Amino acid sequence: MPTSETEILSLNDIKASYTKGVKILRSVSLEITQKKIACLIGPNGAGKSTVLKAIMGLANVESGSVKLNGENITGMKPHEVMHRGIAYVPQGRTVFPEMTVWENLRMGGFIIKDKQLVEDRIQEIFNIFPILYDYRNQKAYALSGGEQQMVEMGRVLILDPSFMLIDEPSIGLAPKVRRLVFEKIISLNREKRIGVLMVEQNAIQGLEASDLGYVLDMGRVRFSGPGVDLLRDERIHKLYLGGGGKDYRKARFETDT
Amino acid sequence: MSFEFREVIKDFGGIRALDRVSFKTPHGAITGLIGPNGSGKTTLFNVLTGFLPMDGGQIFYKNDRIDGLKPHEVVELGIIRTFQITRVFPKLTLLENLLVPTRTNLISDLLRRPKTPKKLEKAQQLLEIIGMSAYMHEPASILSFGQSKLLELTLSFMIDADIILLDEPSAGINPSLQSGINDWIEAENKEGKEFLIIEHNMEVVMNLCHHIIVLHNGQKLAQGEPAEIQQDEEVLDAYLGD
Repeated sequence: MPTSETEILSLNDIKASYTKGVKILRSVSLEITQKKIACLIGPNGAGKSTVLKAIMGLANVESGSVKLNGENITGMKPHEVMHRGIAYVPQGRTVFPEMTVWENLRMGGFIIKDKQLVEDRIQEIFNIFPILYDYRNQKAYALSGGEQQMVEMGRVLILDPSFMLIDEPSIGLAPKVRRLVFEKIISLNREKRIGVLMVEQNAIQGLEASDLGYVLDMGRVRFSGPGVDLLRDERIHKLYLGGGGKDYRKARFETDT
Repeated sequence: MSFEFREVIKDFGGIRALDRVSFKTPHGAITGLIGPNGSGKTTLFNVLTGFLPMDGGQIFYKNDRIDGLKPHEVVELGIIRTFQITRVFPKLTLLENLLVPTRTNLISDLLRRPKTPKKLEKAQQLLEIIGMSAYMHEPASILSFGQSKLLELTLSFMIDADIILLDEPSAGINPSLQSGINDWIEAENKEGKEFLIIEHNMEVVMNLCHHIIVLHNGQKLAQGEPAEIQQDEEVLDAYLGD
């Protein structure tokens, strides 16, 4: 749904959970636009993946709202959210292993009725990721980790989204390939005008690739600001980027007051 | 010398995943296994632990041949492993998950003094390290992807193993927490536990490992100390990049 206006996706004081009694998100507000890449970092269990799932209608949002260009999309079903131009690449390798690269890409477009449009978009995706064209008839399981990550990104790009939510794109990737994946994300943002919200545990590289950073801890946004600023912040370095040694937990709770 | 691989071969259909791989791991060390995605690292773990049969070569552990053994026989030798994709029991509590592998029914264990209280203490201590002691009585199903990985890693420390094989322990783990885990690995190593670690995080590899083996396209590309490996032109080109 491309418009001439810059699209805006916002979360306003979201509280969310999966099962009763276990609160995951206690208060999360953030805003991203089509022009930006935003990165969510934080400890394991902070609620980073749940932020993406709350947007996609995959977590139970108890209060607060998710808005796309002012429209309240809170609690919509995942396919309704996708139809509005928000794509989601979940955590872990999620290709269909027994399907070819080309079939995997076509699966991404199964809600599009116009088959020619799907084919056209697959060609565009081959332009973005030329390696996928080379492997188009290979079964996905035979691809390396980095190539599979590109299939996963390509598969959601079929819908021509305005936003892409991506959960740990660099997990399990070799250093050289990891850089390539971040470069692809940057070029999707700059050239295709896709707003990106990504979760990363390779926090330093994730922030370096991003315009905006959000530090999530215990279900709340603790710090936010330009990625470069967060990288320079000594507290953040110590608490979340590995600079604090073994006393980091103590320090984290001290800032909690 | 602890493990010795001699000309190990593993084929998947027409693809040779391990191509005459030979190396020895130094006794008592933390050894890192690195290489590009698809270079054969996890396959090497799978043949080493009896999860996959090999197509050629031999594997020795302390001078005994261990290739052809079943996974449980490998465990009985004191060699245990973690997986890239975690396997925890979702309906058991975190604490119960950690105590599962410590239960045995062997007569020899019954004759020994029961050590459950000590195990319980250790489990609680480990949950503290990974920052999850507040949920020790919650089912593992509440955990996120990264937390499940942490639980599985912790589980590998609960077993009285001589060697622990870890498949990408830092993937999906917060960098600050990682340093606490590294401390634990180092402490266990000083107590005499050996480690063989597959890892892509170079900070972890270079700080933690005493010795590094590099795989590329199923072959051993290089082997040596971290400082040597970091300077190796071929490794830089194949794996580390600019």
